[in-house]
Amino acid sequence: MTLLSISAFLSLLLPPLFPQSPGAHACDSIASQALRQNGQRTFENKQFAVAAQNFQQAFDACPDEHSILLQLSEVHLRLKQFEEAIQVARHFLDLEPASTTGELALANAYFMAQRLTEAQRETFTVLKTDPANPLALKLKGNIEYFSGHLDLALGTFIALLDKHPNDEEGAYMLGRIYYQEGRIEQASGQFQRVLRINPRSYRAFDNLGLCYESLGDSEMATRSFLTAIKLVESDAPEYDWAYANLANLLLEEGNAQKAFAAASQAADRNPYSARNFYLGGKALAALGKNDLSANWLERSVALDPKYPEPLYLLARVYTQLGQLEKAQATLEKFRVVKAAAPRERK
Amino acid sequence: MGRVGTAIVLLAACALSALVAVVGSAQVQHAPTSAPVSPIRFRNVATESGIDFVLENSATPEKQLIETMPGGVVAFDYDGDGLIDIFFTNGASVPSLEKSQPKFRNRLYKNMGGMRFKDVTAEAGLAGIGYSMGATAADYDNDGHIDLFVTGVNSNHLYRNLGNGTFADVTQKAGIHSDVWSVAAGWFDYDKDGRLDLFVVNYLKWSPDNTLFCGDPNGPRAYCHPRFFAGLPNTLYHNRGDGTFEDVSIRTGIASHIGKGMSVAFADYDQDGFPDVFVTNDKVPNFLFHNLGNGKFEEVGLETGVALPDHGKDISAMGTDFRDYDNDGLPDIVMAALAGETFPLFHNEGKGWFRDATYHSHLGVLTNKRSGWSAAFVDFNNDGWKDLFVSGSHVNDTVEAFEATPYRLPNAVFANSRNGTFQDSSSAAGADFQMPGVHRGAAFADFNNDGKIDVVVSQIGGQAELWENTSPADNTWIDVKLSGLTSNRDGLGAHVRIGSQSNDMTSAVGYASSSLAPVHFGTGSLRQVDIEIHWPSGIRQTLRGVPTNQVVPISEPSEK
Repeated sequence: MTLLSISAFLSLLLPPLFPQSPGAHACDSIASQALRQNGQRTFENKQFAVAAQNFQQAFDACPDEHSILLQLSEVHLRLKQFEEAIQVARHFLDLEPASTTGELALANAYFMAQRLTEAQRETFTVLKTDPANPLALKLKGNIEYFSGHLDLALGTFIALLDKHPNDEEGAYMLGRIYYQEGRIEQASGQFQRVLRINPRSYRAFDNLGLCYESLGDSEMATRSFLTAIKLVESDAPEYDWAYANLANLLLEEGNAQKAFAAASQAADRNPYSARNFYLGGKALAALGKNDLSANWLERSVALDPKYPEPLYLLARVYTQLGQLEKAQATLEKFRVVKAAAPRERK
Repeated sequence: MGRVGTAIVLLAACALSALVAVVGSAQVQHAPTSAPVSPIRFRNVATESGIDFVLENSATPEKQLIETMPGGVVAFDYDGDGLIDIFFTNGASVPSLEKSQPKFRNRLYKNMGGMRFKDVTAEAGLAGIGYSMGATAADYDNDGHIDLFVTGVNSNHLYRNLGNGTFADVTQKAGIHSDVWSVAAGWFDYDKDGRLDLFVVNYLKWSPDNTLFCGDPNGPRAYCHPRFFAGLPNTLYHNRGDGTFEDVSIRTGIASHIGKGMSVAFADYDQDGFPDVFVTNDKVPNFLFHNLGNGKFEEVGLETGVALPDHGKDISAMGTDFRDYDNDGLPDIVMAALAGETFPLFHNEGKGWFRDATYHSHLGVLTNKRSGWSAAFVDFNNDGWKDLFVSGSHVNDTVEAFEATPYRLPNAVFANSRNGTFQDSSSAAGADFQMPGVHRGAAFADFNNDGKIDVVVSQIGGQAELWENTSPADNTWIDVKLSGLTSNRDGLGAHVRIGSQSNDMTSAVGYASSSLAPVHFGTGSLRQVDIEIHWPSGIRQTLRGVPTNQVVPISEPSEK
């Protein structure tokens, strides 16, 4: 789970349309609006490339509709086209130099591009004039966290929540930082807070499950994951983390059969997650189904060749299948990957 | 989507109904209960036995890493009276690393019989020098008297047993180095020349000048993770047979591998007749040094599957044992680790590789929340199946400020269910067995000669524990006391079989500890057994119809 989801929140807070500013450009506002609506629809359907095309055409049809650029910048971020996102946000600011929303969009684009110094500069510009701006504070906290200034990040999120005690995203982010730092009780407190603000926050239930798991309370962890899953079924069919986290817990509890079922659901929801296929492969290996396990692990490795855990298990499974050359080759890859990027996934 | 993809989708579809069951039940399944086993019970008799040793680690506000690591325990019969004695290593002042006060002395306790011990440290000359860590016992010069090697922080010592109740420090004369932090050591005859060689496990580069700060700047300071320190290669000394040793670490290939070594165990995993070396490492992959039989070793930990558990992540591997737990004749590997890492168990598949059997054996579920140091496979209830003992404690005394896991823990005993799985017998092992402590080293022997293996455990800042095995005496047993002739005198490396059971003569077991005692077999209801011995020399020896419930002295025959 990443803290980089702030871009989604920026997009939610954008005004639907900026007031049309006077200008000399030719403006076909009816065509522009239709294209923009198409863009919004395709964006919601996660057809980001098409959405980008729609927004670009909408802006071209009526260049006076500056706010379309903010949506275009956001789509570029979703497409991981960070430089394009930065350029478009800058273009917007050239047209609307006093726009706080524009400053935040540019700051967010820099942040997503991991250009943290520039992101920080833009964020401070906003905070100078609006020190309590919640989006700016959230960006600031994230920038501090990713710059390794943990204490500063915690201070920023705590300050944010002092000013905006019902900021769901702020509490969630603070909980995530606490969790990542192993301060489980505090993390748990923040996820509980999120649930007081929004009782249907499946992400909070999911993370609460992780906290209970860390605290050794398997039963409450299971309950939390299952509650998250129930909410996900109706509210967020694409959310796969709760299934994967449940699968991981079930594996640690020695229940490989059910772990496989949960991992399968996670993979069904997100077939591009290497972790989901790793968990499925791990469950199958524990069940002694090495042939099938190899399939799942191969898929995991294909999705993320720099993820060490499936590489190692795949090498072990190949060994058990008697495929010693493949085992050796996979071990070599594991050695390289492990030396380069040891990391934890949760 | 190709064939693989289709298979995956089909499997995912089949799994839907199973997940409904998951969602429908909030209960997490725990390890299935296994068949009843003979009870295992212990009673701590340290106080009445006269063992008053307290392990002193000199805890400092600077949280120097060495403070977390002592200390080893040795069970050995130093005076040859048939009663197993006990030696404890001890810390020293920090940063001087000197045994500046009597409380820092290493300690030798002579077994007086009837579970009574007497401190004979001074007369034996074993008070020691420096900040000691581990120790290992064997008769390296084949003179019939068991010698002692003590590891420490920049200070290793070889003590030769003079046979008159005293020891002489022969470190320099023997050519032993003493300049890095060594934790554990073990004796084995890697080249099968009949003389015991010495494997020294080195941890990491540390100096008393270390000022590294770890932990929360606004909260409690913590001991630093080993990743902040550079690792070290291990050391192998070849016994020249004239009282001196040659460092052959480079020549044999041992020095080519940098680790953060914690403990060592020996067994011939691939049955090629040469003893192999397993070394646990702290947060780096473990080593399995395959003895090629030509004076060289090849590190095959990853290839054989014992470097890491199946998840591929580094763990804090602690003490270890390398023995056959499922009576298939092949030595398996178990190790202690910290909470969240389980106590990994690697089953020897007999094809040159091991299978991670941690969860299959139920140890995964049973140990995931435990932290431990000394691990050993011992048949405590004499039912013919080795059980698992692990001394308990986390490494970091401030862990509770950072993680949901206790620092002080009770020891644990897992009974072998005789079907490849274990069950946690700790809660039924006795009231005092539930007491938490800062346990470290452990040694295993029948201290009162009642046919049941007892345990001695060191404890930082607390009195050592002597766990008398009080399990019901319904089952029979036999102890095989080897005496090598062509092979080394202790018979280290001998493989002993009784029926389907097998065990190895070794003194390297647990964390930084050593147990040099007869090879123990529980024999269930058998009144007599056949004993088959495969000596390191290659000589095979069989004794038929040997009555149980006795210690059987067996000398190596002079011919093959």
